[in-house]
Amino acid sequence: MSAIANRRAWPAGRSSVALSRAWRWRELGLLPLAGLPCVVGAIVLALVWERPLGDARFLPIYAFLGLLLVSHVTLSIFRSRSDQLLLPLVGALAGIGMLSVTRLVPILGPRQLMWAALGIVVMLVVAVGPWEARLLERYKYTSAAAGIVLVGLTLVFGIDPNGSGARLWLGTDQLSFQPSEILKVLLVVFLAGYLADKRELLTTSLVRVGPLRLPPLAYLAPLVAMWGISLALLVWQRDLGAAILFFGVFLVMLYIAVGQGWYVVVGSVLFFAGGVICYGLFSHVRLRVEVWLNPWVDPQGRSYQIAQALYALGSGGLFGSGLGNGYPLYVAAAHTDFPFVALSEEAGLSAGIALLMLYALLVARGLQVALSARLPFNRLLAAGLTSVLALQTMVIVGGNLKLIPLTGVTLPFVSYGGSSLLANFLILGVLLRMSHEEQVLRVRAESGLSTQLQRLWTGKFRPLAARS
Amino acid sequence: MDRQIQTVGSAFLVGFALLAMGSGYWQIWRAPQLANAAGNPRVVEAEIRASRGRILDRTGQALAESQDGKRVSARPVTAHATGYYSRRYGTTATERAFDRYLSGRETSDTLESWVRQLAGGPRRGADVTLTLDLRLQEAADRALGDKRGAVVVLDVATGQVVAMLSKPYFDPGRLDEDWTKLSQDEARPLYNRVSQGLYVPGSTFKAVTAAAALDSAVIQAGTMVSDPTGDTTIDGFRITDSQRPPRPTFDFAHAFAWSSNVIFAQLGLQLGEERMRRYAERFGIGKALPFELETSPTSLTRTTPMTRVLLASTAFGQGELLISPLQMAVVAATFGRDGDVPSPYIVDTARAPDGDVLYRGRPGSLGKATSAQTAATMRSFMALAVEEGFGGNAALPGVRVGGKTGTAQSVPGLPDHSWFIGLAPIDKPRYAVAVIVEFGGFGALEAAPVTRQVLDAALKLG
Repeated sequence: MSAIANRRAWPAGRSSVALSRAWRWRELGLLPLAGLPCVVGAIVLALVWERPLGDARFLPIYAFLGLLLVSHVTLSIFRSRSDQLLLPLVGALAGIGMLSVTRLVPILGPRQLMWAALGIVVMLVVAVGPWEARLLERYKYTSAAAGIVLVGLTLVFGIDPNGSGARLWLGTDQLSFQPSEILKVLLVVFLAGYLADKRELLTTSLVRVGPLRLPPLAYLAPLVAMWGISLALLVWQRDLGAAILFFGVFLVMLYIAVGQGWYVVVGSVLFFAGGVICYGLFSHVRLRVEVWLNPWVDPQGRSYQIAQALYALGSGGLFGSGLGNGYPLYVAAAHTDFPFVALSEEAGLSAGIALLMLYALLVARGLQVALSARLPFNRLLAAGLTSVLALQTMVIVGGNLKLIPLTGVTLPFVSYGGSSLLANFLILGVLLRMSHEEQVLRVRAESGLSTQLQRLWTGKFRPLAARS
Repeated sequence: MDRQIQTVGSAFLVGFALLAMGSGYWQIWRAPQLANAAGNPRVVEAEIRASRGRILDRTGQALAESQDGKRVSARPVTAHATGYYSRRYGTTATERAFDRYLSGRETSDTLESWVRQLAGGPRRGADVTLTLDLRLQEAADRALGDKRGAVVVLDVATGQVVAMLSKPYFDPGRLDEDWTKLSQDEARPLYNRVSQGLYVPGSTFKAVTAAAALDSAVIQAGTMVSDPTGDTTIDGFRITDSQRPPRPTFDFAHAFAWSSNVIFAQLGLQLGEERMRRYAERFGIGKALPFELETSPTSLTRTTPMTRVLLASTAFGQGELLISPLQMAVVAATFGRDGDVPSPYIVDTARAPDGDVLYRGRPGSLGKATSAQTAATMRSFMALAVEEGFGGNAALPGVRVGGKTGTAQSVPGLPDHSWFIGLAPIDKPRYAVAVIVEFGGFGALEAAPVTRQVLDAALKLG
């Protein structure tokens, strides 16, 4: 009973050391830095457009900076002990996103702000609400089921509100959302739960098949299913981005759980082989690949978008043409599919690399959360969610740079798009929550509550709900 | 699991690094190629938006300006001074030499332009003002008529190029359309005859020889010389005057005025190769003159040491000499400056849109070629050449003009090139002129009248 009493005691906290450190000074110190790009950006745009800084089109940027501050205050008031780098990093990225939308399609600024606000609310609720991340483990099959329903609904009722050629949205033309954004979170929850549950079996009970040591076939079934679903996405929904993203996340999590590098190799080869078969079978896949391999054959037609993107990149140079002085709008759908290119054109290679470094730092902090987690499920969850952000960034930026075929996934936190912002802020919320929980456990362990820690380490710690 | 998570982290890091490299590949490595790709709309956009500075004549008349993204030239007659500005065929002359001012890369240090630069706003280029006077340029064009050739007028006191005409010229605003025709034309309209054209200077070069001989006291103005037959033979090579002097014996001043090849051939041998070279070098011959625009290096001779025949031929302006009209104008101007060789220049100022002067051309000197006394003697020689010699066609009423004719062999079977260098007013020189009329024949008949008209127009400018 005493353990439960202790547990109820936080977030108020017992240790005076913890109390005195309740305010998140480091985060507060970093927030101005996070806001710097969009403040400077707004000033430059005001100069170039010859509009006052108080112009309506800049207001969403200021409002977003206000939201960042509100987030910080909220986290501090609720005494969240979560990682203090995560919010500034995401703040910088989403701020650049607000700036990019304002620059490219100013009238969409308020909409982007609205979705960011909604996302931040979700993030804060998840981060400070009265629950624990590990409770999610119980909803792994619910997640899977919800995911399958979503995919099914999209297959049947999917719409294509902006004429991208793929029916990837649900809802009406006015109000639609992209299920794949929610799907990626559901997928990670399911995989984290499933793999945490079965990882012992997957690693220990191996069956020899020739030179390979395979786990029992029954446990391989979900892997094969995953492979099939990804390819199905590619063929039926024409959503190569989601296919690569989902399968990539699956491979990463499988590797983390099982520790067998060759799973990744075999998985990648399988996916590639599947892709080659699809190339042979389906003309739209073939078109995509051909446009990718040689955009200069038809730069005014089929490969107009990627050719224009490369021109934009080329004109950027090291420091760019200056915000508001480039021509990023020649690239169709720049605000959703090519924000990286737009930024690179107007702020140059230096800004592009800075943006990549922000993502790299965010991913590093996310993986740090995974490393500090004690429960396998938490570790897989944090690593999986972080991998989603990392892989999604790589898929879209890689596509923008013609390193891989172009896909329609968003650049996390930067692209215009409500579902994407919402899902990514949800991911941030979960990461904040998990880092908070681990930090609390660490502080309490230092305060002498080592028995509970001991039990956690040995995995005999039962969920809170199970004890009631 | 720690190891796996760390491995995954490293893999992601490698991935991001690859993306950064991919970015660098397109933005740095492939950038030049992409910038000029035919389908890139930025090329056209940038030209429409950027405002390249204008090129003006000394009175503020626009010679070249940008309209709706196209570089237009109001005055093809100044084509070789402004040069052309073509996306496809590059840039030349002032458009090229002062590109960083015209394009706005060079800006003033004011806060406003600094902020503008920081914001990366569309650049506004500086206006470049030339020392050229459009009225004089047009007068030279009229004087030269439909003949091929070159006219250059220097302001004696400063070395400013006041007129620089090369014919045939072209319309820089229509360069892209006319390129094929222009680049294949055997008359070579694209090249600037004034600074790039190299010709045998003929008798105009006697000014250099005479100055060298006087300055090194090999001969005096009053030294009597004898050329009764109008021809002589040096080492078996026959040298003849183009016109036999009216008297068998005369002083050296008249040898210059009557342009006696025989006397100058003998004088060359007396002078010797070493002094010949030294004086030529002092006038700037043997290399490219320091000048803002494209300039060809001139040369005294290819052969060293010179044979006696070559030395003698060089002394009266044949041999292997290759000289530009600009160089000959510099020689004439030197005598108007008491022996000081001017450094010619054509760009007066580059002025930023906010009025700041970013560049100012300044008078310069290439050093002393002769003593003031030699220069004064040379002025009197040139006056004599116009008043009593073959340069009579350059004479102006009310103004004493000094000059020297020249006739230079061109292509076998075609008339000679006709040369003239002039200096006026000879007592207090303001303008130095060099004129060449290609295939114009005898210098006195073609180039001298052109010089007269040009000097007349120049002196009337006020």
